[in-house]
Amino acid sequence: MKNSLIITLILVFAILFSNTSPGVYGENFKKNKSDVILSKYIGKDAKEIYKIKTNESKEALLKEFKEIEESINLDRDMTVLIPFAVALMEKKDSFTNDEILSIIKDEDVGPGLESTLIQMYNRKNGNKNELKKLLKDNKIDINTKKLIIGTNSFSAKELKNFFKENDNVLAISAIKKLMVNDLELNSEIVKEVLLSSQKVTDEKLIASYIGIGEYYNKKKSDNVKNIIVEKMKNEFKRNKNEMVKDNIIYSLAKMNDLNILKYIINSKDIDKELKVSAIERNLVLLIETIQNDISEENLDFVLDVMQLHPIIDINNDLKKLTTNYQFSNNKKLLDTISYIEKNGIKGVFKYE
Amino acid sequence: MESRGYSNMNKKIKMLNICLTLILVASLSMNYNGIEASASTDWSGYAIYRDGVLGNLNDHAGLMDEPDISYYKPVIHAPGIGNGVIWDSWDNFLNGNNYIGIYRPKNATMTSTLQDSFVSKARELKNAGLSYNILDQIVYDAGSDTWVRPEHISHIRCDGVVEYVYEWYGYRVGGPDDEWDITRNLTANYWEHSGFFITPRKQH
Repeated sequence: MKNSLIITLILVFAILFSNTSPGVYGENFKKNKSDVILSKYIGKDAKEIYKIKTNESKEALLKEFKEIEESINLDRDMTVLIPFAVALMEKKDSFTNDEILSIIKDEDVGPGLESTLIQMYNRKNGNKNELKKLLKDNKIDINTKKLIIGTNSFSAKELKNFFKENDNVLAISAIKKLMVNDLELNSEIVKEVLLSSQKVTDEKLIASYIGIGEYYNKKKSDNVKNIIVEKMKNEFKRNKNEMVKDNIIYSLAKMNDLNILKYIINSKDIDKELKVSAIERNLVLLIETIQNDISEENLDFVLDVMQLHPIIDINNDLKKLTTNYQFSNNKKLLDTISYIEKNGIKGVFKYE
Repeated sequence: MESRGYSNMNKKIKMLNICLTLILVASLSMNYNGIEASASTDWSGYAIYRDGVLGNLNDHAGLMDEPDISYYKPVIHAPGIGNGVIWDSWDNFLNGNNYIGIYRPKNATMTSTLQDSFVSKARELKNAGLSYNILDQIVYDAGSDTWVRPEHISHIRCDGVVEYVYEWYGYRVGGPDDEWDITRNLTANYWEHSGFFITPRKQH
């Protein structure tokens, strides 16, 4: 009987543990504080909470936002803040711009509230020079600084300075803004980085690849393009940072260049996901190659590309080739047309 | 008498143990089913959701980067402030909460080619140096371009990953008839993907 009772106890514990992983126990322990704060909202969805919060004073809402943000795992639970952020934004007219800046500068404010208040300040047409000062403030979260650069109309010269002054992710934010506002100045400063032998941070490299890809996507080749492309290929072999490597391929793929696309597709060191991105970005180039620059070699390449990632929009032009005497008996062509019909997806023509 | 009572008690305990064993087996199989049933299909490119962003107030969204959860870092998602869009483990995605399910765009036939497209586009988001945003699904500046490409985006919310990837390929996730495409560079489309017009929970 004693043995039977021991087995009973073991089974009871086994059932209890089978439904709760050790991870859940850990999380329950960690979540106690936020659970207490949020317990009054159990059973309510985001919209209901938002409605409750809109009836509260801005002071009460700010206090609660801070409490929740302090209690949650910022890396994992941010969506809980959505109704509080929306309700706070609705109260933007009750804040003065100086008041918003003062709260942002408060050391007790977390990155979630900081970024919400930056967006509030923007919507109230705040002074961007005041926000510019925050970029130099060490207490301000880096994500908030990115938001300041990403959502304000700084001049091209200011963006150039942000790029030059920052070796971290802010350099990426600066180039993303500059490339859509002043393509030439963007190319000037990223070429300086890419043609120099001076070592720079990976973030600055990524920013430069984003900027140069955009430039050669919209502008024709110039006398340094080949030098830069070769340097990028060498960096791809040398650099161990996956994000740098991937951005090299995205940048090269943007250059509307058949030879570069051939390099990407034929490289054994570039994985399929990156090749798919490159193919989709070059769909128009592939169609134009069939229409205007077809040769045995180019056709063979286009067919290889379509075997890798079939897109139905290319099939009309491939079918036209079957009436061309030169290619009418090309088995690979006929097989690929059939393969595309069975497996192809509709192309996306959103690359300008 | 005592001996018979002892024997009866022993029989009852043994019966109880048999019942408990059956409950344990059923319990284990229930835990197993939720994952195993779908693990036999290729999850690449499917949207995934889990509940319980504390007190179950909202859900969390991600996209599968690999065919099933046994792969190393099979999830691509924007978990929170400390990270942008990252590859992550299944356990980190769940973060101790409950898995809800896998989803695909309603009108999409999930061929391996389309799955490759979804996964590749999500990886572009991962590499775009993005930060987390609470208010809007995506924050971007695409200048005068018609479409919003990953390199235009600066901030993203977890449901923005799913919304952006599917809508890039023309599969509507949320938003009204005329402004559903988050990749269209228009103010109206931006606002329709802001606040809780769309949230992780509303997506599925």
